[in-house]
Amino acid sequence: MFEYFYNEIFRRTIISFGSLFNNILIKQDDSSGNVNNQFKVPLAYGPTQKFLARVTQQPELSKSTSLSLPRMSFEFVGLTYDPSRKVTQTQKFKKALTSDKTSIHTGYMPVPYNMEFELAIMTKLNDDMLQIVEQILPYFQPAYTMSVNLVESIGE
Amino acid sequence: MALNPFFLQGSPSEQNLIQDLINEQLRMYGVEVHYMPRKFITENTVIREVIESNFDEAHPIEAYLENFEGYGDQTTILSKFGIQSTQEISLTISKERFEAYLTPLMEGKDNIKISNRPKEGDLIYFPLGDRLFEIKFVEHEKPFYQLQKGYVYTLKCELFRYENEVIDTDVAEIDDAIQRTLGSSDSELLGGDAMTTTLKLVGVGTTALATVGYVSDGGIRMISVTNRGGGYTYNPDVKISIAPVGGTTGVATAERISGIVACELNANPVAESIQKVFLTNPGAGYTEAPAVRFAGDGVGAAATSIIGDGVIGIVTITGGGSGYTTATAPAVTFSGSATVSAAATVRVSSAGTISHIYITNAGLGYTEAPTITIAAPNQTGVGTFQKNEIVRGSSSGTTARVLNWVANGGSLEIYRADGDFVVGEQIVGAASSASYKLASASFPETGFMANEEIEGEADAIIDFTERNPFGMP
Repeated sequence: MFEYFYNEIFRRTIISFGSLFNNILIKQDDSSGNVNNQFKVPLAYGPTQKFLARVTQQPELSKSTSLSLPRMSFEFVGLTYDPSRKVTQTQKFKKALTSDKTSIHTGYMPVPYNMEFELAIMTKLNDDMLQIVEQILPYFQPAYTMSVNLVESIGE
Repeated sequence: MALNPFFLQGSPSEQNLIQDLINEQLRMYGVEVHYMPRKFITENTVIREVIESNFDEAHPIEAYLENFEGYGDQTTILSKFGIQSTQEISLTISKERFEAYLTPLMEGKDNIKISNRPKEGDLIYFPLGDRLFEIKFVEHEKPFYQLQKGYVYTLKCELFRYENEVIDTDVAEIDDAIQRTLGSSDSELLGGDAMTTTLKLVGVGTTALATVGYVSDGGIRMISVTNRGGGYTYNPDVKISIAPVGGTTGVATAERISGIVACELNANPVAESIQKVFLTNPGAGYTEAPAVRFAGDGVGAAATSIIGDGVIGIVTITGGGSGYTTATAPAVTFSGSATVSAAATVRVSSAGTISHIYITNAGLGYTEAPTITIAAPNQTGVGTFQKNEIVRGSSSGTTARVLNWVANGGSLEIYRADGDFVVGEQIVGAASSASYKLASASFPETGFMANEEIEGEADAIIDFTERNPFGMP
């Protein structure tokens, strides 16, 4: 009944979500108001293999400090069917091939699911947290739209 | 008088005896730790917190380790924030020793608050585990007033959570406790504690080498863009008319330019116009100037060519050299007898080598292949950067601290930068006077951080061509 296919749709959505937050900066001022420390907030996908985390994040057995802060991590936590976006499954869309304008690709309507993500932020200072949150929230009013090439073969 | 006057409830001589016995025991059975007072550099008002602290002093003192069975169970955990160590220790130090020995070393110094007792927020370097602990609580009433006095402090400590604090004590083992990201070479990557930037510095470069061919009859001298066109979202292919039988068809490549706003075709911000057409092979055997067309997703671009005899042929890079920067691409010169000298331009890769040599003018009237010379890279790098010294960018004025200098490969790991460095500027060490030119800056991808990896993957799938041409709402 089913044939094998894998377009990395979930993976690409996870990457797209992560890319929203991968360039957040923190700047710390000195007493006269001049920036004297700026850095990019480290971000990573939360779930990982235990042994890989140990080998890459703590290659030496004895680590002198606890984890360094601030950090952000994100995680794909839920998947729910969204009937409100469902259209009839016999409807099709067509996509002309760029290389050969004489043929087209045809696809059936996708099935609507909502992916739920969680972004976690851990900072040592209140000020760091406020800087991070303030750089994120204005972009979501309440949604932020981005175009992602999820299925390359049909340009979807 | 409430107490019996015929008994001494803790005379100074008895108290001193106990203190001396405790001091002696601590020096026999203790561990030599380093006490590192926190210096309050910048404090936030209203939201009360110290946003910048320095630890540039470390004083040895004997301490009795109360954790005789280790730090405790499950002291390393894996959370969504990566590996987290949660070791805790309790240390007992002598009250008298602290007041007589450490207090004089700290009191009256700038930015040190309270020097007459150990205080929360200061650090303890524990040499046996090579760990930095932060004092979370100081217990001063255990044992409880034996002979009416306290003799020891018990320091409850937790492993330090690091956030780019300066740890510069001049005690090598402590300063090295903050783990670097780069090992002894570029290929060795460590876990890394600090939020660092890696600056690729050049100073000792090698000059690139190339050879050039020769075309005696009917080579393309140059291609001139007569209409820039518009709407190109990628560099179009340049199609040149096929050379007559026995000749060689020329090959060229086009580059785009942004910011041609007059053209409606470029309403989409990623669409651009044609800037220049470079020859990579002037071809041979043409009897008339070949036509030039562009094959791409834009429209309107047009170009013409001219041909001539005795032009240069294909330029082949035989050695890409090293130490070049994109900001100061080297000049290319052709030496040889000619009516019109050939000219070329180079492209520098992010690794600092010459990746392409494009012919802008193939010359005219050469009788043999000229010699091509590429200018040497700027070789002005000297010295060795010192750990924790301040480096400054010569033109940007940006300063930062050195965490690690890997001479092999010219990688300088810096932290606490106050801005961005500019590629091409000189990076100068304040203490060492070492000076090198900046080729590129990047955030190292080790340990927990995966920002660049996510960025790289996202660039391949996020479709910026579908941006609203009328601007974002």
